[in-house]
Amino acid sequence: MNVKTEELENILEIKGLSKSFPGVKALQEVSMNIRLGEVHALLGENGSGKSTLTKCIVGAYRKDAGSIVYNREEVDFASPSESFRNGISVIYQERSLIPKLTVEQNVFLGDELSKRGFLSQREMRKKYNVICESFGFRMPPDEKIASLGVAQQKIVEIMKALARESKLVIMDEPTASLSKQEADHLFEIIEELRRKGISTLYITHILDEVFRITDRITVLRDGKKIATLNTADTDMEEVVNLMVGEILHEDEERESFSRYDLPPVISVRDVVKLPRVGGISFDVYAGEILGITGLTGSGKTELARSLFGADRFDSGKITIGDREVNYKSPSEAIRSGIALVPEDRKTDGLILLFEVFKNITLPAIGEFSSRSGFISKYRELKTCNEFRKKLNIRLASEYQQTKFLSGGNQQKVVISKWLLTRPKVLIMDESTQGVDVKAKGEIYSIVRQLASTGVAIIFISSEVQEVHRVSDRILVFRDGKIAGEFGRGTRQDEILKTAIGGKTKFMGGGAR
Amino acid sequence: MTVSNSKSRLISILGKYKILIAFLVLIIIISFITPRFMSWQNIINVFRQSSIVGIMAIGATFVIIGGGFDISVGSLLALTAAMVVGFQSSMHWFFAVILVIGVGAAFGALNGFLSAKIHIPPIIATLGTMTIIRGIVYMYTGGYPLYVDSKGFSFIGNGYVGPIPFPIILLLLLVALGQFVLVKTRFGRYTCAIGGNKEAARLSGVKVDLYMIMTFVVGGMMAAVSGIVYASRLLSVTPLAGQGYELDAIASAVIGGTSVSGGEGSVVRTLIGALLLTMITNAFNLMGINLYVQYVFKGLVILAAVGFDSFSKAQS
Repeated sequence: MNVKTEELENILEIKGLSKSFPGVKALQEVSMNIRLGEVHALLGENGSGKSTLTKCIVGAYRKDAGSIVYNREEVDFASPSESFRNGISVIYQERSLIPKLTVEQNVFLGDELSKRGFLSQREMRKKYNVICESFGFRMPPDEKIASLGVAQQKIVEIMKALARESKLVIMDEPTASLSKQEADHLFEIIEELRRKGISTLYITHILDEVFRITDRITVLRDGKKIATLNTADTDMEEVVNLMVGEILHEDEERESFSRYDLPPVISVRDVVKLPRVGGISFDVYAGEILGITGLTGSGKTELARSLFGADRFDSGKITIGDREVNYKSPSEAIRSGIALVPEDRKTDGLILLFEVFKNITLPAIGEFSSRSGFISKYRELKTCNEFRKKLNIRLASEYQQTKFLSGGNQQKVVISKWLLTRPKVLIMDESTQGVDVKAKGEIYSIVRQLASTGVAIIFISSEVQEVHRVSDRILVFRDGKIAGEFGRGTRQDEILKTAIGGKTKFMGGGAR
Repeated sequence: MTVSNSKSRLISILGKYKILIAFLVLIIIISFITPRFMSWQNIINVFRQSSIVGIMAIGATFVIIGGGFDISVGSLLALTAAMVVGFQSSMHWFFAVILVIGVGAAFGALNGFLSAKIHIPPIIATLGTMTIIRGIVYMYTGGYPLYVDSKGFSFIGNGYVGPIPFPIILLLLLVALGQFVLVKTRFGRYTCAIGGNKEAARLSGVKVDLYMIMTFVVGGMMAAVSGIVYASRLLSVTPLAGQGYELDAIASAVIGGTSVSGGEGSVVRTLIGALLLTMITNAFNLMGINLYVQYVFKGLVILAAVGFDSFSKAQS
């Protein structure tokens, strides 16, 4: 690893940065700096404030307090495009290239070289070649983005950053969809950036990578900076402990409602859904809360959607009661007693322009129709009000459009609609994402209350802490397989370690 | 909190009834300029002239709320009108009417199938069928006008119930039925859900393809009914019948506040939209203004109605 001397200039200095959202303090007085030409890891569990921090840096969010000094000047970017023009680029997890344009067109998009108002193809090609040569890229400039693989697209995004002469590149889980070889190639490029004096802020969950390529590590937890360490002076054990925080050994004596004495409600055997789910088997019992955790891309959501019939799975067996099922559509799954609170409530869970009561009654609208087939709004409103009281949903009125509710209240509307179908199995996928702390707690108690009535619950979350808190039993997914199964009383750090153990076989050391 | 609430409620009420308000304002202005406008005879005229496009617009409302678009209904009007005339040479007019409604439903189902199952964007799918159906009209009529002479059939377009022409009664009945289906039945609710968010509707157990096809079937059936009224009113059909009607039908729905991106709308407000469009032509006639100007004015009304919605949505 490169030895860095202390007199190196900082490309970015953050002091006392704070940012709040209604009900959540996302960042609290975070201070950190990034040195010129270093690779700096930003670590933390989901919800720890990593993405809020990067969004504040690039100007996607306005900070509430604190200062950001970039390249010796205090800055307050109004938008990501402004910070991009000033040399900070972000390589997002989701691709942000235009598929129908060529590599070269994408690289220069928004910053085309021109002469007298006409695009100057020759100048651009010259600059393109310079970038390729100095960083050792071999990327055909006239290839369409759509015909490139994920890894090559990542490289094009980096080239785009280089064309703007970026001084700081922020990478958000860049290896999430890359193979091992592709990831290795990316690391070589990062190494090249370092040599050229370009700094990288590297956000990841995979600790192996951190120990392999970074110089320093900053750990965030609950919106606070916990520590900044030299990578060479620490190890995986310490980092995991910093991420998890104080390990609460309370393990409160929660009542379990699991009916292990009865046959399982749902059995999953060797379910494969390419490319993310590679052979998963488990059982869930009545009244049991089965937690499933793992990194983004480990196959949790894909499994959930397969169980619910939202996607067809490729092979394997799912048995409900004693009947083998392979649903062609969610409507079949709902009829046999499965419900899914989907990962993204805004695009998949709710019809945002519907009034609240219409969202609640949608899956069970038949129950509100008279014998002649006409919907009784009176009964719909009555039911809406029952749930409003039962789940403490804050509404101005039942007629309020769902898009105007807060995240937590929206999620309670989604849960309400599934409770109406009286499910035997309730799958909850990232059900507390973007929900404030109080509503989170309420959702946990709804889950427990449901379990006590005999509903089997599959509680999926990438936040180890909440899975640990809610579940009777925990499965950890990694790369589409079950990497571990834990009962109650397992320590959080053990679960986290299983989840982030890395993509390589060398656990906890990497190339160090 | 309560102040901003009541304010936002006021705005939403204004938004909801703006079409009605614009309608009333226009009526008042026109009736000041031309006193003849408010005469019983003229009011009946406006309604009767609206009936054919109005019926077609009921179907368009369902299709657009469900997230679709159907520009083939003008051609379908011509085909069903030609067929209902042609069929009468071999059967009683009543059976011809029933059969032709079936033809409308079948082409609607085809449009729905192409959009929902083959995933052709609805506007393109119906552009294709529009051309095909127009071709069938020419093939069926041989390019010549068809005539019919039947007292019973003539009643649909020319009869009166008391003082009111039958087409108006039919229009109002179908509007009431359409509104009822949209608000009170599962099909209506699902239509709004699919147009509002197709994936969320699917994940809520709605059979989205089936119900999307159903909206096109409703559109096709309404086009057939409007074709029947058309044929009965004129007792003849030329192969060029109904050209551009689909655009007036869509305009009526859109002026009536049907969201172009789907999910929202009302059949009653579509009726007001249709009346508004007819009124513009009517008023221009009464005032003796060059008829060509009416096109410009109609276009402005469409842009104003949609622009208001789109812009306020983009702001929020």
